[in-house]
Amino acid sequence: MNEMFQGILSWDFIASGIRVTTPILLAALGALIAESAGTPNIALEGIMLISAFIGVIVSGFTGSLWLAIIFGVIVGTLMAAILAYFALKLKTDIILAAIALNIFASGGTIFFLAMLTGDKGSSASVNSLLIPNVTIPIIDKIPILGDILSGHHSITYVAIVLIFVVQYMMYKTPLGLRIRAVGENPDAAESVGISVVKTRFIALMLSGFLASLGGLFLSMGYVSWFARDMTAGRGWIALAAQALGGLNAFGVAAGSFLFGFTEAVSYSLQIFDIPYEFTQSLPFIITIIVLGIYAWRKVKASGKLNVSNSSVGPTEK
Amino acid sequence: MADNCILEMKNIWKIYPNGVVANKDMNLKVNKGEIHALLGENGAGKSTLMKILFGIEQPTKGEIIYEGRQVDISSPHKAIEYGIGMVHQHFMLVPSLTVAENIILGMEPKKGLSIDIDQAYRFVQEQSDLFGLPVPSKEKVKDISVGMKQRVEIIKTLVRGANLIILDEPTAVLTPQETVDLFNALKNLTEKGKTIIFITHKLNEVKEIADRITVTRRGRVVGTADVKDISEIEMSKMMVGRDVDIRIEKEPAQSGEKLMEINDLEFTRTDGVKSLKGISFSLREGEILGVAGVEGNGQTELVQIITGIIPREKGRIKLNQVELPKITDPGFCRDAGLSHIPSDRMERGVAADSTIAENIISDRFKKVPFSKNGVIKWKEVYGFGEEMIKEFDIRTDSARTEIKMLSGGNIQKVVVAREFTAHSKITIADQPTRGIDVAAADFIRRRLVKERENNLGVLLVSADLTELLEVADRIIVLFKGEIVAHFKEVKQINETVLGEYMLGIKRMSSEEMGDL
Amino acid sequence: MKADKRFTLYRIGISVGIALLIGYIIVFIASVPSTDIAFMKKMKEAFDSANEAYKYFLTGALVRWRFTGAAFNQSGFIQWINEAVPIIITGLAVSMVFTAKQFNIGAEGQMFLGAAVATAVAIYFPGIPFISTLLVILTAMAVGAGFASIPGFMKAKLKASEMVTSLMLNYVAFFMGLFIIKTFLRDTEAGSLVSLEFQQQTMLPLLNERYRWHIGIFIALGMTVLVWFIMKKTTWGYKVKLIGDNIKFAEYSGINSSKMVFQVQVAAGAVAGSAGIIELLGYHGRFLWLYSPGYGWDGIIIATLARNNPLFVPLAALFLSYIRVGAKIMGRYTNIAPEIVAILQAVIILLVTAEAFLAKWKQRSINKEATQSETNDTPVQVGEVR
Repeated sequence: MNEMFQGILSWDFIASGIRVTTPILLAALGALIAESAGTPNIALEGIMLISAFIGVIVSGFTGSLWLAIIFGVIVGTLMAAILAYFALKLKTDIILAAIALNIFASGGTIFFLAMLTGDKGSSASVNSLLIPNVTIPIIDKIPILGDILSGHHSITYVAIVLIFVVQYMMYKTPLGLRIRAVGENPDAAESVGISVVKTRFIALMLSGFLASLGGLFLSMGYVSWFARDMTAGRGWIALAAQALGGLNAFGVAAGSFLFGFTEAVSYSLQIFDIPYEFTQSLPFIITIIVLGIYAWRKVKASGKLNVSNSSVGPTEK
Repeated sequence: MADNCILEMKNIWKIYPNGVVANKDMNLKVNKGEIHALLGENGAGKSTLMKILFGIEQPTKGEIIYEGRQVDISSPHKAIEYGIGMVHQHFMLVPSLTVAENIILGMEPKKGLSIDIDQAYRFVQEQSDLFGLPVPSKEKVKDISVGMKQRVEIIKTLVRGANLIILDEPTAVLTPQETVDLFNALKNLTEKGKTIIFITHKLNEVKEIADRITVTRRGRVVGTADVKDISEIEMSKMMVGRDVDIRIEKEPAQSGEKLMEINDLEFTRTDGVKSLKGISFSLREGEILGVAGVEGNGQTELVQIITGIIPREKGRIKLNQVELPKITDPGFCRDAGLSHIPSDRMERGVAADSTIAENIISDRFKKVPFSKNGVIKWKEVYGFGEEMIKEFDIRTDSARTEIKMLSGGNIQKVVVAREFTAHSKITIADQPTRGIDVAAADFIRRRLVKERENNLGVLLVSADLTELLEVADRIIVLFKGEIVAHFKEVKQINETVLGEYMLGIKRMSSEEMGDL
Repeated sequence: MKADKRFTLYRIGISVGIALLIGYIIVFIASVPSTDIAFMKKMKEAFDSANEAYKYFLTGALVRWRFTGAAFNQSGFIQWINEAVPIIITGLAVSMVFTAKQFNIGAEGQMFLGAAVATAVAIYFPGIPFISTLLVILTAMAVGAGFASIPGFMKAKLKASEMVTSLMLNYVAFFMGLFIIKTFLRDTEAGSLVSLEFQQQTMLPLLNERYRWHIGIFIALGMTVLVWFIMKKTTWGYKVKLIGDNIKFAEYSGINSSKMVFQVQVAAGAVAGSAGIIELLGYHGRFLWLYSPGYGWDGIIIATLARNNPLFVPLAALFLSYIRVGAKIMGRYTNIAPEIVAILQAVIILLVTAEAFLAKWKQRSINKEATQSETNDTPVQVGEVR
């Protein structure tokens, strides 16, 4: 038992928690922007997967890290744009459209992987590149603090900066104001000439952009290869993290760290004789429990009342 | 006269995807600097016409000439560019944003990448001074009054350079005092050269404020006239096409046993406002008890508590001698003998994608003859649906028609058909005639009176004071969650008297109110 | 309203057509030879091999192509029918929850875990024809229902989004199912991770021994009729439809909506729970899935294509399994991976559910009708017709 706690409380463990949190955090920030605009993006899972795939393939075939990142981000954002186009222009149910994209991502990556490498399981034959880690000079020399603050993956630092950027954008800039207005009362936004479709389009594309960074981290930071369905539910956990954190980037970050550290704990537990299937299920079970407690508290709080103060009924067709 | 014309809408047609024809060859001409009233019943097509003018809807056919040139208004954005603004009946405001944020939305002053919020406050201050419409710019919209929200809406159109402002039934949600303020503000605006189109169905308002008037009926324009040349009776005839007998003949109330007793009812909303502060009254057999009050003074909560939609905080309710448990549901209340005509029929009164018959049996599908052993007998259901269509004069060709294909008045008749055939002793009618045509409203009022003559009890909550005075036997007035007046003899009072109590100018002592 | 249904049909047809076209383009690109030959020749070769691939794809399930000509492909046909079985069942389950507008997408996990647990019964319960088979299926249904009750309860009582919880549970079900097979039911003599074999007598009767055509299709069709009856003819089905159409209205009418929200998810979970084990009982005779087979997700596609009408579910499922079998046969003769079907599926769902797709065309003909009848002065639906 003692051993187990030592494992969990080590500085390595914290570093690993931060690493595991990175993709969830990025996708959750994306979920925050999409949710604020009133268009939940449940295609995050598929977008991450596609970007992870594109990153590996482009880096393997071109040998250029930058091209891999650029293409990964473009294709991920494009996926979100397709979702936006179908949901906003062609009036597809946004949830069904996102499920379609997730199916496309899951099957499509296998199809193209097989087409390009002849292997359906992973990209082992592709010589893919890694996005490097960053060592912060001076700080990395400080004991403990150095372990925690320095030596992380560059996308991890980007993700942490993005918490502040997203919060600033949502609450201090015209775009953020418009996204929130569109999400809360689209008719109000439309009435002052803000295009609801355009604003939501932008919000969804931003969410796709953030998720694609998370995807790139998975295949080019976490590991250096692509495997089928390698996102393994992280896009969904990101949605749960957003649901916990609300529409505040710091809250969402806290939610993401909670889930990330749960996953890290599940890795630590693997050293012991606990079956792999249990540790693998742990993040999902914790998510369900946390969502349940959260929902229960909300129900209790609103027990007082919820009058739907609908003022005036519809008058004309 | 011709060069003075700011707007001309010619031969406008609007056909909706579900086949409903809202505008049939409508024409409208508006002069610069006037207040032009657009008068018509609900469903006459006036709101649709204005939505077309503001670019929310696209006409199926027809053209719009604004300031002398033909324009294509493809979106509200375009309308705003042309200098057309609209204040909608449902406010187009974002509740969690401040007044200033709502006003500058879409035209935010910037400092670097950020919104320059100080500049925004200054700007709102300037503009509201300029047009004489003071607003609390730092407060959140969800915390301000309805009249204030409307003012914010008007400023929103003005700061975007609107020269032509459309107001869609602006007085529907206002108190009499707020209406006076609004009218003064509008007159002030026309003096500054603005043109106003004022949608309404209230004749007295037309007389009071408008210069000219266009009357619409059933999707067509009946005619345009100078207000000073036309009497209210003539307007009313143009509007309804026939003389509707508004007076309802009824015998004096023969009230009997107590059907419903409300004791010391209290309720606090999630925002902390105490919206019911110890209300007690009872409803007897054979009477219609009217509840008057400006919207938001506790009526919604009162109705929702009695009908089991929300739980009460404190107090007791007895329906037909049955004590209502604290945690309850609408099913329990129905079983105790309660019918409910909800205020918003689309939100709670019907299932839009289901058929008329399916909607009518929603409270009795478990009973014979509609089902047996858990299997629905669709033949019986549709047979009953057809009967109801005849009895309640629902205009459609079959009970298999989906609700979403019907007009507002006909949808309300479906609701009423269900609630009046439920054989309940108590009916809670919440705004039963809101937003429907005159004939349907008249039909429903007569049915309410008939209920009472059958020795049943009706609680009528209505914002239409004429309706209350005409239909109810007794009236109580709610103000800030309290009963502030009780009129046992409705014949002796009028709208003005009710208004004074509704606005909290006067209140009765408990002796004056007597036995509630 | 007639026009409405006709356009729905057109839209499905056109969506499928577009999906097939996109698939063709991908196959064409994949068929371009990498050898160093003239461009036109390259195109010609790609064109030929793409046509050849598509021939297998579109007809392979029914036709066996030989040098001498075409013959009926019995194995393909049987595979087509067999593969439709589990996805008819998940399609029914999803159509139930979708009718109630409950986005419970947990059919995948319910199906997987149901099959894993029922595998134990199929291995260890004595093989009595019919009885033990029924017991195995009922076990799977009970597990599916039990697992579905978690998101059902959380939605009904706590108002937690059933979509997120049911999804999370799919992963939990997958790991739990694998754990059960690996730890308790594993056939240690087999080379890969599979369960012990089922009792012979417990297996479904076969209609064709050689290609293992089992009677699962009749079970699936029987379930279709049953679900159709429940959803369209009973008070329970009426309540489900009502809470889906307008839940506030259902509550106002006296229906206990949280009870219904719970019940419909549990009932659908029971249906979904049986999907996997029926295939194992009919075809494989043991549990052999290392990846979740995706039947739950297929159910979503099928319910969407069938517009949640149980009677259309088998048609949609047969369509899906037809192109899948075709894709597998194509994969056997060419180097095109059968996963191409996922791309087609995505395109079909996107277009079929796109309300505005082809809407202009529809609106134009409605306008025509309306103005015509207006000028003829016959009554039409107007705001208020007096």
